[in-house]
Amino acid sequence: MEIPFLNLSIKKYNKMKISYSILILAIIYLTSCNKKDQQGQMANDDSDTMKHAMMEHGEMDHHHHEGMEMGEASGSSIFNLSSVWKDQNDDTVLLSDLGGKMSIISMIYTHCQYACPKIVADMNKIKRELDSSGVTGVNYVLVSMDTKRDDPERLMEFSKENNFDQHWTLLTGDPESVMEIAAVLGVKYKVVNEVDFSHSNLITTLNQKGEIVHRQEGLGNSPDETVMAVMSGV
Amino acid sequence: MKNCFFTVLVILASSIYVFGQKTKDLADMVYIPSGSYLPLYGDSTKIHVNEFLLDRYPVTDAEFKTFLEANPKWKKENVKSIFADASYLRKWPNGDEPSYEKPWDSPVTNVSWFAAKAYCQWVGKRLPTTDEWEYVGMASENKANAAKDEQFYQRLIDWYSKPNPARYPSVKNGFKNYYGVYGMHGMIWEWVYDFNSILLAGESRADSGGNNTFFCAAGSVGSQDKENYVAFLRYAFRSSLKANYSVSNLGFRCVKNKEP
Repeated sequence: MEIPFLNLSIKKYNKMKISYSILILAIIYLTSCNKKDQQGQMANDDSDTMKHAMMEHGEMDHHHHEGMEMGEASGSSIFNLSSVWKDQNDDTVLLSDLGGKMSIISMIYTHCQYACPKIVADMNKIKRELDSSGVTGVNYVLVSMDTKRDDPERLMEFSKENNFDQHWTLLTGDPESVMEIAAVLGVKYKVVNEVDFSHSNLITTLNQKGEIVHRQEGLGNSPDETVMAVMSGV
Repeated sequence: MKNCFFTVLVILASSIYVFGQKTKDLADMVYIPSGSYLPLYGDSTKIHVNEFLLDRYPVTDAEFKTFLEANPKWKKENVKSIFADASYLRKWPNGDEPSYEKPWDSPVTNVSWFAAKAYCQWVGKRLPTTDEWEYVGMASENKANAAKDEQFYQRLIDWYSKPNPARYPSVKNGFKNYYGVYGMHGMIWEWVYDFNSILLAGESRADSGGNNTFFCAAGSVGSQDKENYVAFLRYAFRSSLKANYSVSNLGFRCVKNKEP
C-alpha cells in the first residue's frame, strides 16, 4: 500500500506507526463486523485502557462459584477487588466467592519458616474453638505473597502437609492482585532478595459481605476476640 | 453495514484521542538513567535502580479531572470507601472540580493510593517504587546525588517545616532538580507503589515487647544515615498510610518503564 507520508522524519515515525496500526485494526474490525457481536463486556464494566482490562480479566472460567450472589458489594467490602485468583485445586476464584460466610483471612508464603507456621497455628486455634461451639460454616483463607513459588500445586502440597480440610482456601495470584489485597487488609510486606519476605502478621475477620470486622495482630495471641467477632456476626 | 462503519469511525476517533493523550503525557516525562543509591533503611548495600521515565510534574487537578470524566466510578459520589476514604477530593466542592480559577495546574491532593494507581494505569503508566522516588529525590538543582550536600539538606529542612498552603502553586513553579524534574521537594508528599513495604516498629525506648511479633523476618536494621531527618519524615509518613487514605498534602506522579 503506497503511502505518501512515508518520508517523514524519524521523530514522527513512531506516531505514524501507531496510527497505522489503529487504522489497520479498524479495517480488520470492519471486515469482521457482519459476524455476531463478540462478547466484549467484561465482568466489571469500566473504561480503563484495554490492556489493563485484559490483564485483570484474563481467565473468566467460573465453573466453580460458591458464595452468595453479590449484586453490588458494599462500599467497604474487600469483594470490590476484581482480582482473579487460583486456589489449591487450580480453580479460578474471585474474592466475592467467599461471600455468604464469615472468613478468617491471612497472608503468608509457604516457604516461610518462622512466623507463618505460627499464623496457621493461630488460625487453627480459632477454628478449633469455633468448631467446638458448632460454628463450622466459616472460610479459612490463606493468600500467598510468593507469586513466584506458590502455584496451585505447591498450595495443594502445603494444604496436605497441614491437614487442611474443605473449609480452607489457599489463594495465589499475580503481584498486582497481591499488592492490592495487602493494601486493603493493611498487611505490610516487602520482597527481600526476590524470594524472601518481610511481612506483618495479621489475621483478619471478614463478615459475610466481605467487610473487615476484626483484626488480630501479632503471633501467639488468644483466639478469644476473633472467636467473639465471628460468633457475634454469624 | 452502516452500523459497522459508524462504529469503526468511533473507534478511530477515540483511538486518536487516546493516542493524543498518551503522546502528550509522554512528552512531559523525563528520562532517568540507571544508577544506584543507598536507601535510608537497609544494610549498607547500594540498591540498583533501572533507567525509567518519570513525570516531569506531579499530576495536576486538571489531569485528574479528565480522569474522572472518563472513569465515573472514581468520582467522589461513586467511589467505594475501601478505595478512597471520606477525605477524597475534599477540597473540590461537590467533588466535581477544583474551587480555584483555571488553569487547574496545582498538584492534585486528597487522592488515595487506589485512585493514584488507577490514574497512572489509565494513562499507561504506573506509580514509582520507593527506590525510584528516593533515587531521584537525592538530586539538588545541579547534582544528581546531593546526599552529602549540607546546604541542600538545610533547604530541605526549611521546606519540610513550612506549613501547608491552602492552595498549592502551579506545578511549574516548584523546585527544579538536576534532571529537570519539578516539585520533588517543597511541594507535596507523593504516593509510591510499595508504600506498604516499610515495616517500622515503634522506637525501642518507649515500647515494651509486643511489637516483635508484628513483623516476620524484618530483622532490625538501623538507618544508614542518622542525620537524614527529612528522609525519616518521608519513610515515617509513608509507613503511616493506608491505601484508601486521602491527605491534603499527599499527591503523586507516575513513571513508565523505558522501552528498549
